[in-house]
Amino acid sequence: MSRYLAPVFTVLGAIGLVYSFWLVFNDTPLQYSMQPSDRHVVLATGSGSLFFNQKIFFWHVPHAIMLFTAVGVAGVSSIAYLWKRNPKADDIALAAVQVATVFGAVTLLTGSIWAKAAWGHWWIWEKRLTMSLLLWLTLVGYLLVRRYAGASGERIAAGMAVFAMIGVPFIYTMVGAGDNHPQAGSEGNVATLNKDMMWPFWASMLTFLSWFIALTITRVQSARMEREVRELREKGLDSGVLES
Amino acid sequence: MSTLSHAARIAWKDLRIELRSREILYTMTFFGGLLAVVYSFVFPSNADMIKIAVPGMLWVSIAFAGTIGLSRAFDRERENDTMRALLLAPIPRLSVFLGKAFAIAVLVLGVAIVVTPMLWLLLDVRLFDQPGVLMLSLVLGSIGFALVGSVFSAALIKVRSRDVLLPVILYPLLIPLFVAGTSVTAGMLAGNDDKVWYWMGFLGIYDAAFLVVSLWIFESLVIE
Amino acid sequence: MKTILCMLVLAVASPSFAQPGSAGSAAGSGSAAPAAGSGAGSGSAAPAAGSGSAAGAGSASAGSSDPGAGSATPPPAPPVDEPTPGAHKACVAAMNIDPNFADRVIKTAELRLQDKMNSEQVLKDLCTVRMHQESQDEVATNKRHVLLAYLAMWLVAAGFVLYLWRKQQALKREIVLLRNDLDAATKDPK
Repeated sequence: MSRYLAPVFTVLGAIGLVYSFWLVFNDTPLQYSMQPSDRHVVLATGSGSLFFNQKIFFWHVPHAIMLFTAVGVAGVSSIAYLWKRNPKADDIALAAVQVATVFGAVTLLTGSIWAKAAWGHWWIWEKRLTMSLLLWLTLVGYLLVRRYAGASGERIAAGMAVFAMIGVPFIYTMVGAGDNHPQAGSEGNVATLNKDMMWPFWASMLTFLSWFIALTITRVQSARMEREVRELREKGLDSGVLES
Repeated sequence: MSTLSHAARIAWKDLRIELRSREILYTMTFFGGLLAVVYSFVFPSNADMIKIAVPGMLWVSIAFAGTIGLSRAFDRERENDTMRALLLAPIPRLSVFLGKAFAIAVLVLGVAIVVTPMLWLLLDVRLFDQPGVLMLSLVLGSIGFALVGSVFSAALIKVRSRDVLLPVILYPLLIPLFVAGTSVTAGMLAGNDDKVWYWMGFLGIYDAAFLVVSLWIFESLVIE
Repeated sequence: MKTILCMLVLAVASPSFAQPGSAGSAAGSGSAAPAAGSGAGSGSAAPAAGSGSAAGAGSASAGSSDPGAGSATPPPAPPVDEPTPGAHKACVAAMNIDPNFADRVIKTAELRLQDKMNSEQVLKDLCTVRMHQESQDEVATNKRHVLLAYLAMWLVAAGFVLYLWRKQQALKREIVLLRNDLDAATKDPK
């Protein structure tokens, strides 16, 4: 992989970050609630309620989308690893899962804060948050298995990743159809986004995509180097050149 | 067809061993029954609230007792190092997997068969109004649990911290199964047929999808 | 919570706004006011009913004042709570007999309505002020939450970058160790 790929994407991400935040805080209009009944405050002026906290949406949703993307990458590379036993695929899977855990943590944290600001509770069983939580639990399980399952940990974790990827559509259907939990209002849907907000949203989306690519590439390179050093040492030990 | 017949033979072997000693069966079912008793103490005996909580109690008991039985069943293979013998035998590996999964499904179903009447008795909940629906949901749930559980239990045989890693791996993957199972039971208790059959279909599709994935992955995970 | 109370008060008091178009005679509006005001304060019910029945005992006037009074007074509306069965009839008869009495009753009712409207306005102003204060607090809180989310994002990202950096350092050390071991092993005259 080229040496400059990661730095290029990092710089792109940094520029994009500044630009998209400037857009978000300067250019986007304040969103008015779609359903004033969502909030029990209706101003006497009768214009619905102001949502300054809707700005959180601009980095909560890209992180959620990156989480799902990373899980997909991890699943596909895990399949490749189990099929061909190519350790390079395992590197990509590990990196993808770690980056996914990071993005998932941000998704859950920002989603929780947004839930507190918008609906008054620190946690709501909204579609995106529920899916992110379940995926995040699976990802943490993957990391635990890799660390504590010894030599066969990589295989077992890869199996977990494949099962998790297959389970995503089931989780999606389940959170949509389940009537156990209240569903949140429509402020979180990209489809119902105000037209003025589309460009800032896409700008922040591209920013975090660059950031995701930069992180993944860096982590993959790091994992690859670790493996090479480990293999070199083992080769040295095997050939008797090195003494353990 | 020979794969299936081999699988049946392996399943019958496991079940016969189990029938002789009845160790796992008794301990699993007693544990499930104990859980039902614990629930009746732990939750207040307010009738409405109990009705809402019963599907969860049933399926959580299945989850816990099933995990215990799963790890115990594969411990048996590890103690006698028979897993390697099974893998070396001139039978398709898939049949090994299917046989073991089937045997575990029967054990988990046994737990469910013990826990359900206990919940009916202790908590006075009309679980047996639609026995066909109940039986079908328990069978589908046991099959799904056994499939995913067998894959990872077999893979974790030689791992040191397998007892705690098994739930860590299993429960996030099985959450859709448990949600579907509790929804079917809750719908059955409330008399909501649409809900029951929607989630029953969900269970069936989940089982089918995970059967395919398990068949494909099992071999990669247990080979060194 | 206070906002909800404000809304409740407004909601309950507002039917009295809806009455003027459909209010009955002075007796009707006199008794409509107690009916609507019974939610807000049942104290006004007794005096209005009392004045109605007291006026009913007054003198009767000629029926000729009726058409004139008819244009000034709205058509009679049935009272919601009649203190005595014949009070309404007696009141109407008294008003028909004596137009001054009718005027006085109408004026009193209008004054009372005006009072009510004024207090409505005061209440509404208070509510508005309170709502504005609350929304200002909320926007301030929102700012805090946005900042918190922003911070969370940066902290997690920084944490991961830190983790990557530490891995990098560990790798560098590992490579140095490996190199030393190799040098030591190959330099040995074996």
